[in-house]
Amino acid sequence: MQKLLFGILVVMSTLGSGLLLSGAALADTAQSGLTLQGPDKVREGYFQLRVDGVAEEDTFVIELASSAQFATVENTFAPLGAFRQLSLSGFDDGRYYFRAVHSGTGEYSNIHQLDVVHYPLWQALSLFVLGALLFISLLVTMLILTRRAARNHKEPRHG
Amino acid sequence: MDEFALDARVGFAIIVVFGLAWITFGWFLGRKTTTHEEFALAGRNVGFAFASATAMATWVTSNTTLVAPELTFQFGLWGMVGYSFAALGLILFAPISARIKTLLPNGYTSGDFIRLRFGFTAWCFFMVISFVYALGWLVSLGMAGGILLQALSGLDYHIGMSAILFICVLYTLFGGLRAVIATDFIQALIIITGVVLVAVLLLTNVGMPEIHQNLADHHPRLLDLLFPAAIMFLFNNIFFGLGEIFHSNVWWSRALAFKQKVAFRAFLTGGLLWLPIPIVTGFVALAAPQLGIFPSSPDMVGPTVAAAVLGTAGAVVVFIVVFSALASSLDSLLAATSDLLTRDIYHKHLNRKANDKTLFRANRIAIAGLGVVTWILCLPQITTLAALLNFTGAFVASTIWPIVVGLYQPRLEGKYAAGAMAAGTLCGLAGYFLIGFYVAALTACLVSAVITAIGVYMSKNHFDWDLLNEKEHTE
Repeated sequence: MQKLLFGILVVMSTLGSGLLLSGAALADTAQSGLTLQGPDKVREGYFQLRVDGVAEEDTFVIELASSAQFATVENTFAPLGAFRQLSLSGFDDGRYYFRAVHSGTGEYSNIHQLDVVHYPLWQALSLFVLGALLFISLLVTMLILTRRAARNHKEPRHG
Repeated sequence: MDEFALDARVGFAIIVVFGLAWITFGWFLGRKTTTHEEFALAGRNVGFAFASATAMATWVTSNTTLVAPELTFQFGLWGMVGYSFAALGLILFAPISARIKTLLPNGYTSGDFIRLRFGFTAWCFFMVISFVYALGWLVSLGMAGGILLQALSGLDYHIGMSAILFICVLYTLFGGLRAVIATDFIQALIIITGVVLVAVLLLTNVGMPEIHQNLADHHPRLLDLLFPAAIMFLFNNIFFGLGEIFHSNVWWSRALAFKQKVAFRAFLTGGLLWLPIPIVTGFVALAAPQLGIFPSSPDMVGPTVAAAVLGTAGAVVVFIVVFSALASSLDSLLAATSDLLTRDIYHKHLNRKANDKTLFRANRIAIAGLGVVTWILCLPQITTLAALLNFTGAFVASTIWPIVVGLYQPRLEGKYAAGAMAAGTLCGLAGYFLIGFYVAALTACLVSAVITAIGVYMSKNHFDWDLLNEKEHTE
């Protein structure tokens, strides 16, 4: 047992040593030019945006506007830690414009245009009703079969 | 938010401490296990307290601690409420578990039932479904371990994933189902305490009006009860949960391991205990925009928000809770899937004369092998947890109707059960790729239901239930 636990400690220590080397894993290699990428159209109101061309030690924010001219910046989003990608959600139907801004140099990325077009409500409600009917059918079937099995189980005893 | 809540070394230290504790506990519990039946089914003698705890703890997994916040972040209110409906899987499995225990007093696995009740063809389809699901879940759990460490401490995904897999494989290897259930009991206590603590701290630290205002202004669909994608997701998630539990040997092995009159009450209690947990874990995701947290991947949102709100001490609590949740599911899945490999494939099809000692060894090799395969599949972080899990929904939901009807109705023949599972899965996959993940399980279940109904109507069979009480041939 002692040898075994010692072995486990050795394996865990080996994994732990990788910890020292892991810092670089989250960072991207620096590229020239800030670029912003993401989907062009989404149907669920959530999506991910990715920024390239930012050095490991640098930070950036993503700006949102409703016009390509960015006359008014409606919201800004900062990524978590050293990540170069972020997730956004809960967007209503509409066309949105995003750009990344380097926090140090003020350099702007390309402007990314994204359309949010939710599924039609009739389609969603149709699936909802279908699911509800199927679920009720399953419940009724289970109830009938369970009762029948209980009745059959008791019959021989009384017979 | 620029910094991680925990130092990477603190995160790893917690894993080492808890890992050593679980492994030592697994070894302690497994040291007197001498037969394969004791190893695989804990002597078929598990009492109510342990049974309820293992049912609840196993179902609190990466699904609940990471995917519920992910879906809330994506689908808003329906995400967390809809996710809690997965408790219906445990609750509706309560009567089924009692039936399983009655029909298969000597059974080992869900594969045993399909093989004896429906024959070889249906068994083949079922095993494919089971392994696709088991690997999908195993990989999602391994990934969740890596994601958790990365979200809270910035530690490289591969190190966290490898460490959690290694720990769970080792203590399952030592202790079998007895160790799995006993650690589940302790993990359930940690999970309940931790979740209640996080909920209380969140409600006292975060201003509800501010969260609501931010969502209403910038993320309005998260508060919308007529959010189309979320409405489509609701019943799909319910059928996915039902399919997961009704078919999986994780739950069948528990039904067979529990004492005769314990199974029904244990699954019912486990389901009711589980019901509010996704609401709490999902709720934290709604605070993310207000806190300026926009995670790299949506499955990181839960632990990141909790750690941001609760500080370092809170991050440690969240870390321990999620680590316990992952471990309680990973060990169960390793044990149950290795039972399928040992019993259904090795013993029943490759070496029918295998003695108890050989089966015992085969079971342990299967656990280690599954661990290695899972680790390899986890290496490339190819997708998000929710996407991976929902892909398997097309498979598992096709088994709901054949299993429910097959357990009670003697008419249904194997060829219809096989057809229901195969056609259901194919149509579910078509729905997944052509429409979206939120129709995969629903489509699979619907097609499977139609074929099962046709099967009951067309079949002339009258199955003899005594055939399920298979006698052992081990030497």
